[in-house]
Amino acid sequence: MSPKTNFAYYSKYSRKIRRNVKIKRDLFILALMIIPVLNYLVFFVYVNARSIAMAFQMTTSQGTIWTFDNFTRFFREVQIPELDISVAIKNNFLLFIEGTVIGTPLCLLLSYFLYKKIKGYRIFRVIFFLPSIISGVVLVGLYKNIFATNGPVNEILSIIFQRQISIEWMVDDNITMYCILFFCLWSGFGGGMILYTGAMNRIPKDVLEYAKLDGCSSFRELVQIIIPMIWPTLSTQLLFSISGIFVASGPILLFTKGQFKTMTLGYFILEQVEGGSYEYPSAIGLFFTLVSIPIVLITRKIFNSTIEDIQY
Amino acid sequence: MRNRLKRNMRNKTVPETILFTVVFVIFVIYAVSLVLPFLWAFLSSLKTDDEFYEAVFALPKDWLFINYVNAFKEFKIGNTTMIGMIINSLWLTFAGTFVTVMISSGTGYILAKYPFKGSKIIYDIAIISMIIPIVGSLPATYKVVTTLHLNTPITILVLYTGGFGYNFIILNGCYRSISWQYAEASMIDGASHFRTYMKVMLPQARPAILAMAILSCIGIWNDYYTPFLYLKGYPTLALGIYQFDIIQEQRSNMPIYFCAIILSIIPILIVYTVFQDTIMNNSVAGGLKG
Repeated sequence: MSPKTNFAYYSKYSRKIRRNVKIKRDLFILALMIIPVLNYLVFFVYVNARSIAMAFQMTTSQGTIWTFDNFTRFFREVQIPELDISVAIKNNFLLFIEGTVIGTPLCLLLSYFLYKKIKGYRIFRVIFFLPSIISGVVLVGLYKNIFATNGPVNEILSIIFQRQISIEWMVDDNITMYCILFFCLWSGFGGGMILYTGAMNRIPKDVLEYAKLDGCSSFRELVQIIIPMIWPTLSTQLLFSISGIFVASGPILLFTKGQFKTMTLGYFILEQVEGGSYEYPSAIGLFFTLVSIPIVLITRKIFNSTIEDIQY
Repeated sequence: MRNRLKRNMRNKTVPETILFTVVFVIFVIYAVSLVLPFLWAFLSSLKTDDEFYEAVFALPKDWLFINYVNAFKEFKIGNTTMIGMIINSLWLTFAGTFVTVMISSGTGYILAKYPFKGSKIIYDIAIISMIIPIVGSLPATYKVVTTLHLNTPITILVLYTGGFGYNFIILNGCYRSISWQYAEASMIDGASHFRTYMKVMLPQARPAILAMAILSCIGIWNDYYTPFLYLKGYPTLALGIYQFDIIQEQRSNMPIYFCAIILSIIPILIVYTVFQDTIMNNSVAGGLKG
């Protein structure tokens, strides 16, 4: 500030200046916050309130009425195993088991060997991440054509077994869902791999060196040292897949549109909406949201209490 | 002594060597299974339609690169040609990324550096909203989008203006770690709040913003779900490939389908090669969906 500044002048107007400063600051905050806040109010608050309301509504010829019919319909339909909704619940469990019970351990092993700098680990890392950056449309399109009835896979099998083999991988009530589960496994390692190798690389090297000196085997190293030390990352991932049990739609829209016993909850809701039905899927959504909130909270508690966070 | 210990640590025991060899073989098989389909698609894109069905494995008799030229004319959904789809994809990719990154950057910055009444509550609400597993909000969202006529390529950008997701958390942390003194210095020099944000603070968060933008571009370019639900009349390349696959039952032209697939992954592969480290060394990558 120049020495010539008139301090009397300044103090006379200082309140006004300060108010101006405050207004400018508030305007700036408003400018950056108004759109996202409105978005939140519409697409989170209003949308979810509307979902809850719709779950208890039904459109009839007399207009909209309040009712529990959507829920009674749901409880009636889940008891009939042939219906789409029952198939969907079963398939969502299958997807969950594929992701957690089979996918996560395999992904941990894969990450472990990359972390251990197996021969060619740099190239493997780049290739293994490919499915994560290529569109599901493309991956499924290729997979479907490769497993087509007259496609390469059957061709290879025919050559191996020396007879014509034409398994209908993509249009069979009994095998198509398992083909899709295998697809999810085959294409689903990328994200986990990045997170787990990242977490493993943050483990201090000397911890593992001491263990080696004490004659610790690779298996014990993985199970007793590495997994507990990356537990914060691992448990967050597990929590995500648990909270996604009922949300998951899988790549069903791309594969079969729910035919051949491949319906999932996410796709079932999508199909209902596409068909112009809103109330029934809202009721199903509300039911499963209410079921999964306690599951998520309890798992969080268990995860946090069984293994303490390790500081290093 | 110490040297011997070190050597012991580095040299693997015999069972370990066997284990690593076995795993190496498995890795090679898996890697081949990931790459081979794309090679097969590329070869198939150069064949004639008959050749595709008769000789699934054979190399193309003539390498018909002309198929790619034809694809631009014949790969059509409704009135939209391949060029139209590419334009739709590019628009949605860049505009959507710009909107989503700038909005998250704004909320992240304000909640990090401009505490106001209720700012802590907003932060807490954002975190809680991310954790609650909401299953069926699609019907209501769909209704809102159609009633407000948001299902056009320009208004659809409203769907990308959510500022309280994962990107927000990352950028918020990023801005928290940048010292406020830079902003103070700039404002003493007479710069406004907005100018300070754009010229001084935002550039310091550039690494995080760049990583986020790249991942967002890949995500939107690959996304078929949003266009499928809301932009059926303006198919993007991803949606076009999906729809072409369905209408194929009537008029089959497989090589062109594979041309479209190859063309759609070329930009992704280029970005992946150039920004490989940014994409893979960032914790954001874990959330990328295929």
